[in-house]
Amino acid sequence: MVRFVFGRLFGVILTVFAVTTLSFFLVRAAPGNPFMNEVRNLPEAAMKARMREYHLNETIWVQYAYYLGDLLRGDFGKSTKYRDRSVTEIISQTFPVSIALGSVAMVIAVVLGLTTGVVAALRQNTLLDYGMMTIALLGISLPSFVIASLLIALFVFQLNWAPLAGWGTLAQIVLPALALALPFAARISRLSRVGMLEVLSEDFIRTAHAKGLRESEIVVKHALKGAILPVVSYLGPAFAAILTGSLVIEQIFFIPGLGKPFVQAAINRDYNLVLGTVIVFSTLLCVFNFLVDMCYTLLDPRVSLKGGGA
Amino acid sequence: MYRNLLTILAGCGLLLGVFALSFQGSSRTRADYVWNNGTEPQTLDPGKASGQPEGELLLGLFETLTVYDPFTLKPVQGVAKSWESEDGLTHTFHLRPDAWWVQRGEIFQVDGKPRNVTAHDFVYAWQRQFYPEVGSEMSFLLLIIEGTTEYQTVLAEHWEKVLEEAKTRGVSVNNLSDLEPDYREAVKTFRQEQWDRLVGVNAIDDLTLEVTLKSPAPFFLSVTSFYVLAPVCREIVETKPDSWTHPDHIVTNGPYYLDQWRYNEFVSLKKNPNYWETSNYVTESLNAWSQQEKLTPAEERQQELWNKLGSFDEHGMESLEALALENDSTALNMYLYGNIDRVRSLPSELLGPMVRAAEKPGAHFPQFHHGVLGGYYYYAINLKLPVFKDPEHGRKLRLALALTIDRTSMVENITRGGQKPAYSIVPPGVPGYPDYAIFGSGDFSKDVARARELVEEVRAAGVKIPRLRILYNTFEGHAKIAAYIQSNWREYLGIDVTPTNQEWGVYLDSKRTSNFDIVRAAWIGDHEDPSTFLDMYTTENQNNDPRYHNPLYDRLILDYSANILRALETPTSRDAILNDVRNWPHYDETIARRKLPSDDKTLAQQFEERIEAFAKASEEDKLEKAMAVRLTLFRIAEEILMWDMPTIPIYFYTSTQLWPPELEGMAMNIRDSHPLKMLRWKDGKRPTGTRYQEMPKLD
Repeated sequence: MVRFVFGRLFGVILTVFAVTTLSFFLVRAAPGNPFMNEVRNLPEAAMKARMREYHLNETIWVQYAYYLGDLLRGDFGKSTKYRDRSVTEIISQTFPVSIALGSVAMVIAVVLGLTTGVVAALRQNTLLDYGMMTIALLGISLPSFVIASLLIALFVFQLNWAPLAGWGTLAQIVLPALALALPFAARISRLSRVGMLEVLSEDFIRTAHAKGLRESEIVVKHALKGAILPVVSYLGPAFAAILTGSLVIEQIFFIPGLGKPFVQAAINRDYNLVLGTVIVFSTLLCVFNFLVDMCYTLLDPRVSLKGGGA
Repeated sequence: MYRNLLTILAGCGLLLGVFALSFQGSSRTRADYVWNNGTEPQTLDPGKASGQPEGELLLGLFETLTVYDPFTLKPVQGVAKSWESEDGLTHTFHLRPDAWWVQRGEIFQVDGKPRNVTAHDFVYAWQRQFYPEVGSEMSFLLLIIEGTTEYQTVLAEHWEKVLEEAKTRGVSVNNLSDLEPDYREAVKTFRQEQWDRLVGVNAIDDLTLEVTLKSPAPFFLSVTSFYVLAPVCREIVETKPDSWTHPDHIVTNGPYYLDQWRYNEFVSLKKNPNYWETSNYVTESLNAWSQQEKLTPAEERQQELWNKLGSFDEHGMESLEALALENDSTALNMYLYGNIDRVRSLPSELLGPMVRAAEKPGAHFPQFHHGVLGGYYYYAINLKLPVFKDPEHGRKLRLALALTIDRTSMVENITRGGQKPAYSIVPPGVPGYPDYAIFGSGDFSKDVARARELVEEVRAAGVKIPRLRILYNTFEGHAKIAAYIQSNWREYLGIDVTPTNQEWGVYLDSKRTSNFDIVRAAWIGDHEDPSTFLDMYTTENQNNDPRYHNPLYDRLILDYSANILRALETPTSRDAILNDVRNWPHYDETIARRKLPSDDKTLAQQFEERIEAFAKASEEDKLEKAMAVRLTLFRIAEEILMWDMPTIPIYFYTSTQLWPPELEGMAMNIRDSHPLKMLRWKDGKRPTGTRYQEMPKLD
């Protein structure tokens, strides 16, 4: 167990390092540089000073050495666009927002997804099943800005139940979290329905029925596992996606999360900010996958913890 | 055995725990005035800033020598109480003694003494614009001051040397503060000595600043109201070079101080309790002026403003909040729900309907504000391309392309924001400058007929017109315009072009490295003077996208207009200018023929008359007459530029904004500049509740 954990952690570090290195060279290979302006080209002296300030006048290997050196000291460097701020500062202001929004969205997605999935499986081929799965299909196919707009139209304009946009109060979280959660809830719902159906047709369920166990007991004690397992393996990437994929939601609901800097940094060629966000997200993805694997062993005794590697 | 259910519950519990830990609720109360500032400000350092979102905040945080009157954009009192200039060259500013530096609203103390804003602070801030390590993008605005060009060069060379020497000592230097103390002091001393030796900016004493210009610039007092020329407090900038703009450190002198700054969320400002504009001060000034026989124009405007708006300390907003809100639809919704008080740009799909609703006869839409901005949208042409390079056929082709864009139909059906079709470079609204079409007859079918002739001539000469590429950055609005122009050119001229879009960074790189046939671009001027629009087409200018090169044009802009008094000094020098212009091969076709709309003269006649008027003028009238010649010179330069057509103007920008009628001290102007200290709520009460019920019906 201990060996497994350490092996995996080592794997996480290795993966993040590889991703960082790759991103470092990729972002610098993109045309242009961080100091290009639309309207006014930078005077030569100013351009030179900026390049120097961020070591961009050096060869790419020296830049890389500088970057790794700073990274080892826990320094992500300064943003090239937001020149009064360090990348650490930007991430430490925006990341908690994304985590807070993401965790609520995740809870909604899991609770909503599992309940509807399980109910649909139990009432297979009924109107309820078809209805729920149609909604789930819609949830998967509709882009999030449509879902967000529909939610705003309904809960803000019509019912006046929720605030329009902004961040800071609990009420302001509800709509964006819902908009963020729905596509994931839909996917979880479909996954859990399929898993559940598979288990329900197995012999031990029939045995349980034959023993005269109550339906609810059968579902909760025995069949639920079948619904959870495929969902659990989906949760790792889903959580990472919920945290990164919220650019549109952040824009519509005016939420200062990490999704926007993640995308905008690449457009701005904000080298340090790109790398900072990449490191955060790749670490997250690896760690969640690792946690999911750990959960698996708790849920499914057939999976054992041996060996290492990522 | 409820393991499964427990796992789910535990998982959810864990997530909610994570939520509780990461969520920082905020109980901020709504500010008096909240607006969408477009995007996150890149910096709050006046030495580094260059954009609109920064500018708006900086004018609240820092106070310049003069301040814009939002209604006329003319200067009124800032840190300077009064100013004068005899010859248009040397300007003397008298600073008020009670302008304080504040930190978090408290007067900033240095060595236990309250620190007031002095002339030396301006000298330091303006010097700093040229420090290579600061890397200012806007220092060019100061280049109208005597000696600054030399200063810039000297400083850049010196800094290179300092860095090299530091390298040999094994010291890595980004900022001045990275240098060892002795070397740092040496650099500072050097910079000050060179400034004193070269530059025409002197702090006569703590409260008197004297500025000498290279040549009279009528827009100088507009520049002194610009945030780029704001003073900064040396003590804080030098002790915290990397973090001095943080709310806990920043030292400012404006009507507001920085309270909070959250990335991609908001910047909040609070009223500076130590700001000089108190009701006592205002009453005393107004009383003194009422005794005075004659007021200066600035005093008159100030009097008018104070009578209209009252003093800042009594009537100004207590707290402000600028949102880094990029989504126009969200901003509009927030406005309609009363969450914000001003929308500075509307969603493009609503722009057309709103403009129409406001322009309907008998419409009542007092929230709607629409005005021309000092900027234009254009297509730059790559003059290095063989088909455009030829002096005769290349020009004909460029002109034909420029003529064959149905701009009126385009702004009505495609861009739909009430933009103004552009047939020249300098936008309407520049004082004293005639605004009208330089190319184009005002009748599109006539223009097309002429364009066809031109293209036929080009083709008859055996020139093959290749399939050209229109480059633009990926954005729906640009794509629509490009597609429209593509169809115009194909339909009327039989010329095929391919609109191509590139991702933002790639596009900027292509534009910068001339890797395009025709590229979409935009320019927003820095002040209300033709120079800010015409300078960029001089050969060496960084922003000369088409790489236009015309020695006569360069002379008109850089030698004559920029040094107008010297250029007009002697009869010989005046003749030289006249002959230079007359010797232009196309003089007879254009300048000698162009009728000016204001009077019945041609441009050539106006030019000659104005030069003669200068020659005959008395000493005290000379300056005014020289300025008139200067404007005509710009107009001639623009005529030449549009003859050569290196760049195709398409439309002049307009701005469409919403704010409630109860908001006072706010006005549309071509700078889109809205000094925060002028803002008031009618009767001191901010209207609460929603606003959508006040909106007109849109079709």
